[in-house]
Amino acid sequence: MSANLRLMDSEGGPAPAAPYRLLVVGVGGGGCRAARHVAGLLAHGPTVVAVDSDDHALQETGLPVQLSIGRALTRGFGAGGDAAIGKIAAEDEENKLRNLVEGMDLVFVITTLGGGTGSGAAPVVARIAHEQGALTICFASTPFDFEANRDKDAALEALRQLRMHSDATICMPNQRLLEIVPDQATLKSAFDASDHMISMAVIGIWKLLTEVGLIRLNFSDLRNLVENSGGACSFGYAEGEGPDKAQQATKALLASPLLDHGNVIAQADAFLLNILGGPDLALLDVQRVMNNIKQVARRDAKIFMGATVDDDWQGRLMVTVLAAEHWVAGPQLTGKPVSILPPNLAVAPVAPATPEQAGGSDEATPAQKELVFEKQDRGRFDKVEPTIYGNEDLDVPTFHRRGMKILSDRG
Amino acid sequence: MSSPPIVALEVGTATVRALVGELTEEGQLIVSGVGESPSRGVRKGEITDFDNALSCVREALQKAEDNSHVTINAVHLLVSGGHIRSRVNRGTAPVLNDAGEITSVEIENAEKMARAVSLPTGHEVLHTILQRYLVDENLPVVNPEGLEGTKLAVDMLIVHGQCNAMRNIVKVVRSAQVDVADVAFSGLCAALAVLTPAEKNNGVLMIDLGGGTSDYVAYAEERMADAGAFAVGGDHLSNDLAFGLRLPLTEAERLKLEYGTAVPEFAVRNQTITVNPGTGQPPRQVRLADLQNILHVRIEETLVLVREQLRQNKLISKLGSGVVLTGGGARLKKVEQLAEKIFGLPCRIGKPREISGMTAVMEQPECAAVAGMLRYATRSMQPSSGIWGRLKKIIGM
Repeated sequence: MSANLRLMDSEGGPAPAAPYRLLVVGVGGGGCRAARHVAGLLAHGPTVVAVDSDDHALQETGLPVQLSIGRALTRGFGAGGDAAIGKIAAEDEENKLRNLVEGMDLVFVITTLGGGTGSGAAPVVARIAHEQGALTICFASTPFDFEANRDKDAALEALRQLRMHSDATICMPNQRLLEIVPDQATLKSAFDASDHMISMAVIGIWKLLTEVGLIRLNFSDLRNLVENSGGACSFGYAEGEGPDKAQQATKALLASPLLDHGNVIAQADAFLLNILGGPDLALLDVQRVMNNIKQVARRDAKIFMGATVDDDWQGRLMVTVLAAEHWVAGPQLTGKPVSILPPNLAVAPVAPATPEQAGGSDEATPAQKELVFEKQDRGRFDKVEPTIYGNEDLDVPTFHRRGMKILSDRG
Repeated sequence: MSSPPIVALEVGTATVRALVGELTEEGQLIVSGVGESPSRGVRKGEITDFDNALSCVREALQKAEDNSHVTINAVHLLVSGGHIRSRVNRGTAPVLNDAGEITSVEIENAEKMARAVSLPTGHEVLHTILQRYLVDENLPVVNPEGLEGTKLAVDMLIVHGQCNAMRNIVKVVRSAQVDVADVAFSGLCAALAVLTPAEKNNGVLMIDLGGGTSDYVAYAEERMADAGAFAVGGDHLSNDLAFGLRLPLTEAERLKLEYGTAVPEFAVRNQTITVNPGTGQPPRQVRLADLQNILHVRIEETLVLVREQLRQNKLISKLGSGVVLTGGGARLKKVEQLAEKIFGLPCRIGKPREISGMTAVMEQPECAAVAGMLRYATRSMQPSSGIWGRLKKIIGM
């Protein structure tokens, strides 16, 4: 192994209590920054690895395990915003990445999209982790609207790639954060908030798997949700404090822009909900949270619910939600679902993670059945030469090609 | 005294429209009559049902005649369709005279070479548009005549299309006992109608969002830099709605006009609207959000198609005056807002300019192309265009 991969002491190694081997990989500048944030918040948490093509940024993370990629290509100066370079850089180090993820049960890939290394390398890392048999969950943030230098299209293309190569990708559009951070917020605090958002998602799921559970959610629940999600998940969390902490937390959760003001919960096929509280967590609190959520959620939604207790959370409560927008009950033996959708260049100006725009597939939903029906009936464009661009028949409704869901009653 | 009336005819996918115009002595264009007929037998800008299309053409021409009290003998015809494309071709000519001075001979030779372009099979030239002259291949000039140099180059934008598709439209019109005086790409005409000279100088992209096609013309660096059409239009919006909400096309069309928007509105997310599925089924409720999302992804995709085309030619950064949308699709609520987001440029809705007579025409973006044809026709009536001979050949006259 070359000097690029510096394995230091394993102070941040897996906590002995964790029955699952979990690896957190930050990819690219933003991903590494968020990974460091995770490592800082979880002193005895999982192994956190930084992967970047920029040596200087890599050193700054101070993480014990660092992998510099694409040396031959970038000489350690980063991918310069070019996702193609990021991709090649990661592919060059495929063997090292494979060694890194080997034997893991669960790999979290953290990245910020729109730059070079994150957009290009993260899908490669996800693919390798998935190929090695780990349940691979990606946490990706898409750029703020004001980040003009970051290519929105490249970010969305990378998101599609991530969804294709991972078991689930949790997309967190930074733009949604602007609703949370105050108007006077500094630029730095906006980016800090973004890092914090990713970290909370990682930690929320980590806690769920490791803390003592009163109502236990386990690895197989997560696996069930994630593997059948079609690749698109949303994450949200909210906290409450004091006597009405349950009400506070659910109210904040349903108002949270991370979950599109409750819309994600209202439309999700399935979601995983965890309540984290201190030793004082009361049955009533759990009941209150669940009642409030159930009022909003679809009646047929599958809910995986858990409650965990952490001594640090005395007097406080946190609700975390991981929602699968297109979820199909039962095991899907086919594995990779998204491949039927060709890569697309579209911009999703509202929020890429809303259910309508998620690029996930829904193999057993009604929309899929219509694809067959449609091949015979092209509606108005029957008997007309199809309009083909980039392997897509543009006469087929766009929403259909994108796997968008129609929730209306269709007679 | 004004010139004899000019008639522009567009056999569109949604509407067949004839416009009668006259040019006053002051050079003012006045519209004196209009005839419209809902179009049948046209899909994506091309004729699919000859007889239906013919009866629509007859109806539109008849209405225009009644309306303007003019007998229509010949029309200037617009064509569009996904087959229409353009490319830049360079012609060069060495300066051979003893003085080393560029004369009309060199200019003619270079232009001739620039027009001689190899096209895909079955394609013919529709327009050749002069872009610029280059002396010794690096000095761009407006008029090279009299300048010294060893070589003259000229760039032409060649707009071309499929011969058969264009012939079919001409055939329909001639079957209505009307002569075709001229043929022009409707995108070009729309650009003529809605763009200001300042916009053309600064660089601008015009997109005509029609019923069957989306035509575009881009000006950059003070010349026409790209033109073409995509076979995606308002019909696709309606068809997507009909399919997604399981409704007849007419109902989908109504919903598109009444509730359509290019950008989904957050506020309506939980609202529903009553729709009429027809054929004896009772009215039912659909989510407004579904309707908006279906339209949004389609119009977004269409605009992105144009953007990617321009990006390939590295033109986006040269559009100082942004984007101008016209055609029926420009009526879709918030479409300019979406275009601004997609192109990262300011956007406005374009309506026919500098045409008087019928306010109904001037206020309608869907009349842009046909109104522009009137302007195009008054220009090409001036001699020495040299293109018309070729056109006659293309369309078999």
